[in-house]
Amino acid sequence: MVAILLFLSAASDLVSYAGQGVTIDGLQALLFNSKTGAFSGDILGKDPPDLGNVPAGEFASVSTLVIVRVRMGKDAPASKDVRVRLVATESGSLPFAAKGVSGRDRVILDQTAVLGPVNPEGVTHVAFWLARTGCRSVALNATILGVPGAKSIGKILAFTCYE
Amino acid sequence: MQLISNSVGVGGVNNRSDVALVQAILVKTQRSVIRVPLIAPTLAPYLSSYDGVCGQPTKDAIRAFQDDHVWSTGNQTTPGGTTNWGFQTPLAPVRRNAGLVEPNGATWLKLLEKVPADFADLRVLTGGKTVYVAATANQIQERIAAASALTFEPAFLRKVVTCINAMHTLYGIALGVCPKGDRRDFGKQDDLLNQAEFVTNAGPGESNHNFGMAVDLGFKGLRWLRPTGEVVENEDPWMHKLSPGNVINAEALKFWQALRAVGTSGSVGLFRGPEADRPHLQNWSDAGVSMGARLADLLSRSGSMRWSAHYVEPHYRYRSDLGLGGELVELGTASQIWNKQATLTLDVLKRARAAAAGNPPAGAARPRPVTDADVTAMKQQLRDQFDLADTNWRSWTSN
Repeated sequence: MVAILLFLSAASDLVSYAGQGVTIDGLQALLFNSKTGAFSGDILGKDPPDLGNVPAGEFASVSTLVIVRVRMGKDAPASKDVRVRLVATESGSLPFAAKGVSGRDRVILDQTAVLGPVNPEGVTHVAFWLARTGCRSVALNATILGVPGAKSIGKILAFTCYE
Repeated sequence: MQLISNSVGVGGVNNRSDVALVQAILVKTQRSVIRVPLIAPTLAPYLSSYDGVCGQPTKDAIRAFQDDHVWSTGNQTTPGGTTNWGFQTPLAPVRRNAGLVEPNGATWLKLLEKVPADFADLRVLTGGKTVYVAATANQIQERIAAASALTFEPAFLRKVVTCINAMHTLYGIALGVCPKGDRRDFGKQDDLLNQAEFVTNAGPGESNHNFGMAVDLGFKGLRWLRPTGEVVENEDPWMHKLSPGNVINAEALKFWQALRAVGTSGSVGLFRGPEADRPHLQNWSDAGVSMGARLADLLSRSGSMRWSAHYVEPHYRYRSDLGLGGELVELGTASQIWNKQATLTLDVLKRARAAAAGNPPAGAARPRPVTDADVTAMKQQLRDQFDLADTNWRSWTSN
């Protein structure tokens, strides 16, 4: 009986999410400065910085925090059935590398995370950590799982390195 | 506006870049179109997109433009030399050069007259098909001011400015210095070597960027037209909008080739770096220059030790007398020394110090034994020598 109630409860959540149109509201990406432990501003925001030779210098970064902003209905209940998947794909070659390196595209992250608590505006955030970033372009694709028809969102982190 | 090199349209030579330029003008120039009888006409471009290929839509668009602006106005001199007095009737004879644009012909001149002022100076690189808006004189001055505020050796900076000006004069492009494209200190060079895979083999003090005589230039802000005529307003230095991802496409390559050709021209006098490193220009030819030997020379002149370098694929390795005046001893790569990880051992340091001390006179105090702490201290001193060379970067020479 309890199991049936739990199932019905979960199913009810799903229906409510679908009805309320759970959407990915946006992506942010922050560079992590390995020398200071500080984060940059949003490099996907308005007037983003040019990401050249990011691993070198005072703000040297080889890691990126990606934040997926998810918008749900106001006061929507949390559910393990709704998750966010982020796939980060690094492009193969380095166009300006001294050696003219070639290579294939490589998935550097394919991770799924459950949603956390939702704020009064019906928004929650999910964070993902990308390691060894800074020279190759990274294509981000975020998707809502557990909500039929939910649209994905894609962004490019246009890292470039040159000697 | 750049002049087309050959004719475009019906029976024309139809070079790709010429076609793209004419098409782009037709994409950006609008005409009144009556879509529904008795309803006010709407504005629409003569051509919906451009691609550098002179197909039927392009020929039709040229004809339509001629009908509107070339044949229908008075006292037009046709490219063939005959005079059209502007009398257009349903029975008017077929016009000479209908559907054809010739360099400096009547249709070309009318295209220049009718294109909106914002697009009065469109350009395209020879053989390319990407049309862009020429930079203004103010934009060039901004780029030169920005470059001048960066760290370069003064004579080299003058060449960089000459390059920026030449690129504008020849192609209407406002080059700018890429982020971190000026002088790079030894620490940044070490970051790049160890944190950015496959970018460089040059360690601290081994890159021409470390001496203010190399620059990375790019195309930030280049306003190019997408096929639909939409202007890209936020291009980055490496043209990721024109050439997304990590592979340079053919169109972007033409811009990089133009940059390299201008930079290495006799009037500018710069040299290219590695083949794939397209933003890079430097003050001397790599041929015959041993960056290791030149760093060893700078180290010897900047600090209190003698240095030499030899190359062991893929890095230079360094030797020093440790400031003791004796034989040079192996110390490893520049990056190892910079990071206080020189390959100096206790035995080597003992021998070096013993040799320096020679044979002490009888009765003299025995020298203090050499310890691991001395090795650690010496590694710090070696790093200090690199710091002195880094500070003294303006004294570096290529020979």
